[in-house]
Amino acid sequence: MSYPIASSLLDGIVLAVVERESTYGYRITQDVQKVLEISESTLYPVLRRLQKDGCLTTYDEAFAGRNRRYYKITEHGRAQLRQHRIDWQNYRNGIDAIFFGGDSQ
Amino acid sequence: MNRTEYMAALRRALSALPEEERASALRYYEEYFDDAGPENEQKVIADLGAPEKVAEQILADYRELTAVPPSSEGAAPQPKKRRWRGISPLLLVVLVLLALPMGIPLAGVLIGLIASVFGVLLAVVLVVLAFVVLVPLGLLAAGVILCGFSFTIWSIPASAVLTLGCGLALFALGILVSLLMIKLCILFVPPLFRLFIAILRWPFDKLRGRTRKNGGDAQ
Repeated sequence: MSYPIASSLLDGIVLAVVERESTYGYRITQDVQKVLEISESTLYPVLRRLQKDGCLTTYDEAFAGRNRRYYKITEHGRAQLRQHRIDWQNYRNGIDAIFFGGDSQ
Repeated sequence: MNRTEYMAALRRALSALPEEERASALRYYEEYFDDAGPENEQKVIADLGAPEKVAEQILADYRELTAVPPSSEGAAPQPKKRRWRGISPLLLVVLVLLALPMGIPLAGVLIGLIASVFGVLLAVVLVVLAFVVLVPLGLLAAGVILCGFSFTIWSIPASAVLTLGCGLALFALGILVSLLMIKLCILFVPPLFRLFIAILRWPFDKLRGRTRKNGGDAQ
């Protein structure tokens, strides 16, 4: 069973993936697909939006005779990610409390 | 469909985007093919789905991103409009204070005029009322007095009869005039009253008519 993924959650996930290490589109898609059922075409708009919002920047690095575009988290992106983590914790605690009883809080 | 055809279709589907946005998206998917490797070309095409679908996602997100500037542009003319909407409360207070030295005497003159008009009207009404009430009453009273007086002069029967006759005639005339006055009142008081009301209402009707006209213009 899979749950529909809110775009804000996807933003947080992408920020978390990029925060671990600067990485490129294909890798990000592969990483996210390990835990979420997302289409291959889902992430480009997310990456573009995060870039426009100033959460991510890009830089090009030579790889196998071509330039590969890497995504790098910005300070603003880190702040956003901190907020995403807090929001997720609250959300998860609320769901856990209902699913497993109040002891998870 | 191979990679080249796929990318060409994607380029066509993204033609609505500004050049920079389109180039960025196309570069992303070119790299996606590169990173997936030539051996996975068909898998990537299958996974990505129809280029039109991919383009639709990008276009939808772009529209969402650019939906903000038009609303902020739309908000910009509003303060300009607000500037012309009317006099600010502060300016209004200052204007009222400045107008007071002239406004108080003017108001006094106006109130005096209205009061004098009312005074004249009241006087006219009182005179008419006096005429209407006092003339018949006077005639009736005169008739009664003459009749009474006639009883004191029965020593001269001719004079007494003449006086009694005059008294009775005056009394009768008093009754007639009374009836006439009542008739006149019935005839003239309601229209006069209506006229009076109409005169009083005239300035207010004028005012209301003007505001209604203004309301019509504003709509």
